[in-house]
Amino acid sequence: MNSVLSISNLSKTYASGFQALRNVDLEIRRGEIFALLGPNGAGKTTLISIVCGLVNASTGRVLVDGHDIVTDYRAARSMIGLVPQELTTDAFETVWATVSFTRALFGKKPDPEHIRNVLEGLSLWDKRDSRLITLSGGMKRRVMIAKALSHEPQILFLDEPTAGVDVELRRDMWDLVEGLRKTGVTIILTTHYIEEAEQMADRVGVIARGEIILVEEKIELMRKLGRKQLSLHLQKPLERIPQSLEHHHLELSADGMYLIYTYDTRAERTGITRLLGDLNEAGIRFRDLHTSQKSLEEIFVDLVRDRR
Amino acid sequence: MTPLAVVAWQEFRNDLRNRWVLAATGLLAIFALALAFLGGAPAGTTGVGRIDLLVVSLASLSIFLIPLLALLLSYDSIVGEVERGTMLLLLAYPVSRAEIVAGKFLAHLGILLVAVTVGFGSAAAALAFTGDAPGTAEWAAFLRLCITSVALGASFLGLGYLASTMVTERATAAGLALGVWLLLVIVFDLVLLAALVAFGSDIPPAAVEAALMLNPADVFRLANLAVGGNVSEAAGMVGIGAELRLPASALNGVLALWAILPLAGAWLLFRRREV
Ligand SMILES: Nc1ncnc2c1ncn2[C@@H]1O[C@H](COP(=O)(O)OP(=O)(O)O)[C@@H](O)[C@H]1O
Ligand SMILES: [Mg+2]
Repeated sequence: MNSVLSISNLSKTYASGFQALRNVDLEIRRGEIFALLGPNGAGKTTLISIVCGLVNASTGRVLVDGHDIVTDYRAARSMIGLVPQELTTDAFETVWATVSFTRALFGKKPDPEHIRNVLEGLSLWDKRDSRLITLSGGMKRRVMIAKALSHEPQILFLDEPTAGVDVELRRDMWDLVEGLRKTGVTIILTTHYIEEAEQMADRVGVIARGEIILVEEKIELMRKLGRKQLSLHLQKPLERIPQSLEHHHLELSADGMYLIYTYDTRAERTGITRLLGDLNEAGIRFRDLHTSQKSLEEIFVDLVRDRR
Repeated sequence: MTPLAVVAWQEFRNDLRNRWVLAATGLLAIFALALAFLGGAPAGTTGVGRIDLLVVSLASLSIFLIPLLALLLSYDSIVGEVERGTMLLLLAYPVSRAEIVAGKFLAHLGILLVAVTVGFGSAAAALAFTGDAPGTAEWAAFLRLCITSVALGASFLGLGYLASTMVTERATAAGLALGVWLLLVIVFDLVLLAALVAFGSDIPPAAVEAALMLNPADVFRLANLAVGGNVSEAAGMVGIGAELRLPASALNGVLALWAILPLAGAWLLFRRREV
């Protein structure tokens, strides 16, 4: 089987009546790093919570390496490590105890060697005997990650892993993700930062208003997201775009005062020089111009509209 | 260790750090010892053994303190973890909700067992060292007291989990638990007494009996004080005991039901709860 996580027709309506997920279909490939990208309130945490068994789905089915998360929850959850969005720790336990307990809760035999490796990888080894209540927020987050790795999961969920995190931990996180990828662990992370998806992921799924809008190789998505618009404020309104300019795929504003050109910042040529030359030849003069990049929010809105 | 044992062990460690629980346990021990020494004074001409007296006084102590201790242990065990967010992770582990409830119950039962053993045990030891050795029958009554005290605690643990599972805030659960304690330990008997005074002979004994079965604290009292023999004599309950027709085994059965049913109810509620 190629996909390690298979989600089909998943919907969730909360008791409040709010529909947080709509018919989500998603296949995660074994060993990949998948970023779930979407604005706040899109349903990312809800999706992860259902897979991890914290929230019951309203409809649909989730298989973790072939194990149904409802009927075969022990097998399914045994494969999963979850680092939740919020810090949640038993304040009075020591780092070592809480991480070891977590492993035991997964029914795994004690393995001090493994726990040691995990703690060292997260720069927690020196703190192993500290009580959690004495640790800083960043350190607590490291403990959450250590707990999630204590039982050697096949799939690791990182919910907003770098939100509110210092630079050092962010860098460590990226190193960790890279290291885990080499050992074959599948990683699914959520974020509302395009840069983060770009930096870490192999594939990106965009989610908005409970719908998966698209799933794409990162490189392809970044090409789309890298688009910019150049808008030219004309001296005289145009009735229609002259034939000689058709190959530039321009748009004309309703009042005929603006010409809009969309281009890819990452392409070898943006085509701007050619466009300006052609405009000049066609005798179209402009008094001002400016460029703009669509915000993630706008891209989401566009994507949602395109789908309807 | 199995996941159940890990849940229980973690909970047990946490409870040992709970100052309220320590205070309630300490109170139990101090009162028990005080009763032992007070009871050590000559008991007059009643012919009642000293340990019988101790059992009677400890049972009265149990009725107040054991439910309190049990509710202190249980009221926040679900909602508290939900509020702190630790329940979230626990539910993501391959642990069933039954295991979570059962693990906590075992841990709390362990705490109750420790409290009863330390508290009542030290009282009994004090008594045994300061006078004649009590007979086997007296020890049996003492053992019965210890076991029924833990059972009484178990029923209030279950009630505490019910409160903890029903609400979304710790404070509400605490209020509910306090209400349960007041209702079952204080108000219930007062109301029953008032009814008996007001209507006296109009109320058939069976109805009184049935009403008493609705309160685990009363079942506990009856199981210890109204079973005949020296203990009930010491309690001055011979009159009531003679009227009550329920045998000791039935009382034990009802107490056992009380120990199990609220727990089962809490589990059913917790199974459906979304955190
Ligand atoms: N328990 C709940 N009851 C009702 N609505 C909820 C609940 N949890 C989340 N929501 C709503 O569902 C939507 C998706 O939330 P969430 O999955 O947390 O989004 P994200 O993680 O993408 O920010 C939000 O509008 C949120 O308000
Ligand atoms: Mg979220």
